Amino acid sequence: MTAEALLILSVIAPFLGAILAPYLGRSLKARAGYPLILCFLPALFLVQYAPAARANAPLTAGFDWVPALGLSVDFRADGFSLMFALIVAAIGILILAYGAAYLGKSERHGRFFSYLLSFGGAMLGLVLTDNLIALFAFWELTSISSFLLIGFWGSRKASQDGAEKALMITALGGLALLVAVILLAIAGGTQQISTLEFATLRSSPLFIPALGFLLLAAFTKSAQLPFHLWLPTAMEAPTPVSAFLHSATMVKAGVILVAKFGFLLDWGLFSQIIMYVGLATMFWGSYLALRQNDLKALLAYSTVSQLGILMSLYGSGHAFAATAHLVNHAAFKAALFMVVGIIDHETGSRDISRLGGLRRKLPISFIIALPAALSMAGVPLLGGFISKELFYEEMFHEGFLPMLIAVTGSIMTFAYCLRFLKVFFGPLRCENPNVHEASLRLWLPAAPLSLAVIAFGILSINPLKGLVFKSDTLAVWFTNLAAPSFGYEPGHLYLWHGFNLILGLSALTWALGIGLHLFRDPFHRFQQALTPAWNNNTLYYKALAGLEHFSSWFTHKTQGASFASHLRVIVLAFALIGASVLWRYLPENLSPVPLAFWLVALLIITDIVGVLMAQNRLSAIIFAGLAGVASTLLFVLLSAPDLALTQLLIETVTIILFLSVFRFLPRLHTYVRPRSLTLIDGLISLGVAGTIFTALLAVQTPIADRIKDFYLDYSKSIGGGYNVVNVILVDFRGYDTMGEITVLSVVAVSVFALLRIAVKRAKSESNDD
Amino acid sequence: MTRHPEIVFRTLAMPVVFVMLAIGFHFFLRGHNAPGGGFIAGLIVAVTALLARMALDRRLLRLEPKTLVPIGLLIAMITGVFPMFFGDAFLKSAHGHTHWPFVGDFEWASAALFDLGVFLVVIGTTLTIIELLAEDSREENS
Repeated sequence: MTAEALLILSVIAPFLGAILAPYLGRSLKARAGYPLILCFLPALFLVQYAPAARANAPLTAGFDWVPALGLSVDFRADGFSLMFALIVAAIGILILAYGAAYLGKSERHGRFFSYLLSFGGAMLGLVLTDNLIALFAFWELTSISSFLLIGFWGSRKASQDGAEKALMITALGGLALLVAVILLAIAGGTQQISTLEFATLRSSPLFIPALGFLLLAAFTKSAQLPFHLWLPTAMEAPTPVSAFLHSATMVKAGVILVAKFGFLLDWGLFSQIIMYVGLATMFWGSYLALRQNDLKALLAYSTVSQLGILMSLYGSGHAFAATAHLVNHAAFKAALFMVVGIIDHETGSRDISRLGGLRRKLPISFIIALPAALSMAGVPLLGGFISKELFYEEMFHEGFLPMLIAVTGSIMTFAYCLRFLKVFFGPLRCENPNVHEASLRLWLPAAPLSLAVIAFGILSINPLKGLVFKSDTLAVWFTNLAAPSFGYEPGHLYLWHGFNLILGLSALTWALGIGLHLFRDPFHRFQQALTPAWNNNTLYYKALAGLEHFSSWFTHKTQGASFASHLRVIVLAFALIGASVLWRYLPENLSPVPLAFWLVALLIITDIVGVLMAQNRLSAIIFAGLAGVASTLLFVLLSAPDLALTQLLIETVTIILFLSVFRFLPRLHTYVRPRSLTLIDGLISLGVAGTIFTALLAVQTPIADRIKDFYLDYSKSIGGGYNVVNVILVDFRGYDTMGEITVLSVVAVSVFALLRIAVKRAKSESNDD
Repeated sequence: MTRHPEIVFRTLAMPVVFVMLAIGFHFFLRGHNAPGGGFIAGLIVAVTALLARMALDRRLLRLEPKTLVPIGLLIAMITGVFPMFFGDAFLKSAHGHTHWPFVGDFEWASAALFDLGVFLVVIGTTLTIIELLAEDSREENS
């Protein structure tokens, strides 16, 4: 297989798996997760192109999609993209295996794996794509699959709320991203991310708005203040999902965006904004994490906080430190989520206050959780320590305030890590009396992550090269892979930096962190006392309720009255606008109307009068049908047999449709209305008819002349058919037809769903009676 | 609606269904060179199926009409994507002549396959909506 094909396959394979998953799920149940691992292998095999990416000669692949619009599908495995793709693939594989053991017997397995894989594909596409529009498409796909996965247990109220909130906020960011990519494409003159140039963009007036929208997208997706509220409620998703999407991969999409476009953002005010938003998020996330009693909620707020660290580092241009921390965080956070899943699975609870001493009952989970949690806390010999040192160092250079926020945030981080580990220590407390260690299938997928956490800290690339502590750790391989993407020199990750201020600050962090943990009860009371009456969540619900209130008010004001009055306004406006346009631009000579048309028009008018005079609905329908059939005569007169046929068939189907909904309609009322109103309505109708009639006569000829010849000339040679109408439909304007049948399908599905709901409701009501 | 079909309606329905089906397929096939095509043929076949359903209480198709919608959409989509494998644009069409044994000269166009997708989507959508509505009204009656 060629390298290009492998690159494209690595994105497509998970989507193919998503199509297959429902069938596998039917026969293999939860075990379907194991064969589906294959879908992430192509992405994992991309590792062989790491040397090329390191040498700044990344693998690229692509093909034209719609050359007429300049759309193409481009993938580019530069160092950073490749590194993140490897993380997605590796954690994806572990999560599939974990999910296969985690899901109960009665779950909808096929659906679960299908959503999970389509997310995997979207995420790989998001990091590997080199096209702005495709970036947006993959971004939206990750939001949608996240929505589906959060709402996986859709019958629960909390799941519905969580899914909705996540979609609302990330879709807001998605719209912002759409605006941003369009502005960037216009300002930069290209859709290829790798060929965007800072100088060209900088000189464009669209530059600053584009960056603003880009930041909004990044902040919403990566749960930065004040958009962080969706992430904790997203924890309603099954735990494998939380481990994969809402800690290790998807929530980093915003960070990736800031990293990928870092060369644009590393500029004055923007870099300051990102850094301070990131730091504020880091501080607030760890403060809130300390308050949580639910293990998953604790991890969720800790993710918010860690994303803040990444955001501030990438935003202020310290890509090396940021990438090192990104790698570490992906490993330890996914491992911790998996352990929480195990605890939940085995004890039936995630409540910190009800759990304790689990290390005796869940020894393996404890061994897995220990290094991961300590790495998050920033304890030496683990990967997290090194990246936290780097974080301190960079913030130290940024100034006193960033440094202060970083240290206080880290103290709280240290404390909540201890709080997390508390469930393993102390006297045994657990509601399930015969709790025992999870099966091998459940803990084995978590183990490699925990090993990686240790390896990132102490393992030297070259153990022969003197002391282990004085050489690079394994994480440096990943981190330096991204070097060419950001243009930094490959750096070093040493465990030992010597005695300096940074180490002193770290020691202070540990001491105060332990202190905070020991005095957690007073601190907790302090937090309780500080709780304000409102927070972001209450604001969110208020805003949502306000929006609903506003739309119902608006609908009521604009469409509330009777259908007739509503229609009157629309039609009158149309007639007036049309008439005023015609008044100014009426051509000298209108197209002539042959006699035959007048006759057909008379026929149609007669039928319509029949509709108006009809005493019951059946005769009204028949008259309407007759009017439709009469209008087919017009097409025959214009020698348009295709249109005539279509019109005739549509009339037939419409009548059948009418007849089948007949019974649902209420009895036909004769509305009593004043004579003056009838007169006004009649005048309005005549006015509209007159406007449309004149408009048609005014525009008919010139347009038809210009286009007609092209189609007549090329129908046979390009489309291969003599029926020009059909060749236009399926060939020249095939794109339109594709869109139309898609709309048709959506309509079919919507009508089906709506009718099913209506039938169900009717049935349940009749049962209640 | 189907409980007491008129005797004339019922007797005539059978031959009419066959004739209409034949016309429908004829219109589909000739669509590229004469009036017809997937949309028109789809409507004809849908109406025929409804006739069969109402008069004879019989389904023309074994499958649920709603499954035709994704199948049709998929066929159209695949026809569109196929030229991309040869480096052409989405929906780039091809046509030509092939000599088949026994059949002789056969003129083909990739657009016909796209039209097949349109055909199936139209049948599926029309039947899904109308049958559901008709079914509801039947339930209402009973």
